[in-house]
Amino acid sequence: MIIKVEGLNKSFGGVKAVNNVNLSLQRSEIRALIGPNGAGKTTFFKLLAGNLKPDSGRVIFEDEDIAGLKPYEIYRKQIHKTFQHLNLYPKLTVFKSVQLAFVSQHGKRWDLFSWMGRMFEDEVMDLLHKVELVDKAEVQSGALSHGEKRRLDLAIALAGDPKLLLLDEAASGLSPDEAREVMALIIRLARERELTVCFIEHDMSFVFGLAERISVLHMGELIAEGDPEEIRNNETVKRIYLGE
Amino acid sequence: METIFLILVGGMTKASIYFLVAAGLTLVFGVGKVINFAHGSLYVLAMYVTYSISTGLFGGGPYSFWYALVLTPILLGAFGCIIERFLLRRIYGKEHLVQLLLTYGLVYIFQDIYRLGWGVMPKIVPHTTFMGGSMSIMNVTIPQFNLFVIFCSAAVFLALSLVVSKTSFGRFSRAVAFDEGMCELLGVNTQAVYTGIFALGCFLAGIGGALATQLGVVHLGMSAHITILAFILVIVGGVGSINGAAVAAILVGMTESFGALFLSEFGLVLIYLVMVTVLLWRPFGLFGKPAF
Amino acid sequence: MLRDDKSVNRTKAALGTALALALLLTPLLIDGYWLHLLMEIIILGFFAISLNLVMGYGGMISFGHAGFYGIGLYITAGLLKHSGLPLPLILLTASLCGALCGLIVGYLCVRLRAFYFAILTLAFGQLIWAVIFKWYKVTGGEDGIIGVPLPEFLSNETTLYFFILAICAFCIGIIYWIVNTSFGQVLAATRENSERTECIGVNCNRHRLVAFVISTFFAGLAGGLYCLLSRSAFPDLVEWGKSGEVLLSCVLGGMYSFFGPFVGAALMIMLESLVTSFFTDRWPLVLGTIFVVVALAVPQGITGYIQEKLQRRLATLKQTGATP
Repeated sequence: MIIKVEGLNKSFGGVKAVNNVNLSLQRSEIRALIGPNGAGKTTFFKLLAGNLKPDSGRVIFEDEDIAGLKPYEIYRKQIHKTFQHLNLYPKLTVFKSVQLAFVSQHGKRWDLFSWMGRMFEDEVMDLLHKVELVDKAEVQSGALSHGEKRRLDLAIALAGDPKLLLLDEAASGLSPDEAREVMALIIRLARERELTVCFIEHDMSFVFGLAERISVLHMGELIAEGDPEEIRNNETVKRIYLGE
Repeated sequence: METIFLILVGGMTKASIYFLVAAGLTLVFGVGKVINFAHGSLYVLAMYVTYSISTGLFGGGPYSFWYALVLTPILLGAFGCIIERFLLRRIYGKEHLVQLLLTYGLVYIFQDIYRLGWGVMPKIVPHTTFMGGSMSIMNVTIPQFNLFVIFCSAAVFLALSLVVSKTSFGRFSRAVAFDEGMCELLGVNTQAVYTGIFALGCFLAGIGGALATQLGVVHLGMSAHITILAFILVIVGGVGSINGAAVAAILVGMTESFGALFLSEFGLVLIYLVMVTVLLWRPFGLFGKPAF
Repeated sequence: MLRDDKSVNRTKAALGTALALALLLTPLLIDGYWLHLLMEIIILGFFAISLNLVMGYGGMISFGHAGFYGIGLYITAGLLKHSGLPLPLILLTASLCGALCGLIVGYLCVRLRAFYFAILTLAFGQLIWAVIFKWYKVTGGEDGIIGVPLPEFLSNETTLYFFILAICAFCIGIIYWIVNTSFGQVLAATRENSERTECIGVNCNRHRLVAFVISTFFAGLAGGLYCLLSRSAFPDLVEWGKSGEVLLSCVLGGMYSFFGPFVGAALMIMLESLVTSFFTDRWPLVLGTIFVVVALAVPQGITGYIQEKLQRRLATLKQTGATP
């Protein structure tokens, strides 16, 4: 088991956005997190990645409680997240955006003695090759197409050599073809590196096609969990998605 | 005991003036989202204008100050409309740095205008005889005018609270502060709201400046102190909050008065300590929201 | 594209060499007032570049840098006058004191963003000014400290010039080095997008704080050097006017180029000397007007403006070149 969430809670005002969620992931498993809009999926991810502080509960990652740590501390534990709404460096080049992640991951953040220049060039180019952005290396991130931005976002998350990758709608806003391409790429890379992946996705063809297990959130509560077949036949899930 | 009481009144008088300046600034800040460095300069301008009106226009008679107290805020408000229309309107929504530059430039320009218009010598506005005496409360002699200043400020506070919560102008202002784009879509004349808010801010600075002329001399070196103080008040109180400005003004006014008693010249340092403490405790000020 | 880069680099190198030669040879050609003016430019330029580490690279608008400059200035003046310490040690003390205050102020300020940061640094800058202004026994209050003695070897104007030039050039070199290191680049990333930078494992506030301390170290040194030039210290040099002046230098010259602030500082000093020689005391009015005009017309600064023009030229050249 790589991560174990126990009794995680978060309220905004009176609304319980995440209500007593228990969830655990096996090493190198690929898990989908689904649920209707407002189910608390993004909030849940933000709690894991440190963007929000949980009200109570524990997040045990490799035998260590990481609940309530800052985003940069959680990143250093090698839990990396992509963003639902793209959040890149519009004015920096693709190369530099990825390079920064490498610099940070290898503890060169405080290096006052060597120029960044082409530091980690091989690693960056290798990764850009994998996400098919090599020929865009010197382009400013802001000038990329939406699909390329999504791949860059992924590359930045992968640069730090994550153990657990949280993908918040990594294919949203893409055309169906592009979305399929990006998702296939993610799964290929995850398998290659034996990553543990947890992804939020609305497109059920991806969810049922790619995930090994599926967890369903509704109104902040975890209401079902199982392999795709079980979820497909789960009465509660049907009711939530299809109405009474 | 008497000293304490006197200092309380002194502190409240200071707080009243501070509130008048800070309330205008916090409105401009909260609604227009403009960092107006020149607000303190407008306050000093009001003092000079009061001087000119009461000594020049009305010949320094016993009631001249009261005419000036009515005219100065109106003139300042009109002047504010002009500044807003021709300068500030160009920088809404721009980077903070651009706003800082422009309004800071105005500080310099005003500074030279005072010097050109009124010279380098400090100016004294003749003291008014009406309300100019003193009265005794609990065997302590207190200048009547101080009480008048406190009364004025309290009245302005009540009036502002009513304007913001009850009138349509107040509602529009709050709406514009919240979401300008939506207001434009809904047909609110946002430009008029901005102009109105800025004019109101200048009007308040006008009242504050006019009243302050009775409490001390007018001189060139004032604007830096009052500008920075006004910003401290706005930040301590929370941007856009009238209540915050009032509480912060009282806090700072009292700190300054008591600080002067115990630490003499270094009383000023206490104000900064208060500010730092408040900001460490609540980074967005006493009544502020993290949004801005 | 590559060829353009190369030619740009070559132009830059040529410009740099020419400037260095010019700076080395000037004392042969000018002296007195003009040499004094040149030294002022060098010191303000150095000060502006140190501020720009925080502003242009760190994205923090510091409106209180004159405070740290002032600490360096007063400590240098005081130590030169009352202690027999060797000059390098005095300058080092001045810089370290600047950095120490920077550490305290920075610690309290870096968590704040944008204008909160600007106002809070302004308030602290004014606090330093207020202490200097009121602490008559130590600082001489409004009268300042005058008649600061210089060490024997600096009594000659030309030597002083080279001394100041050498220190400033060396320190500007260090800052240039810093902005190009991993640290500097990560700092620039925090300015670009601090939320994302937190999410690649960077404690943004700590990066900001370190940058602030480095910057205030050099600000203190700049103040110390100015003391050597003026042989006096006055509270005017610590007030927010000075903070505004150096901030304007950065913006006027362009915050997003390394040497932009230096260009801005040169323009400011030359303009001030020009204006004051014709209209004696109308400088504040002119300065204020410059602020307003820059804010309305060229918020990206002179060098930023030139760069934009050049890029547009290059783009059109490329287009016409592509269709022979």
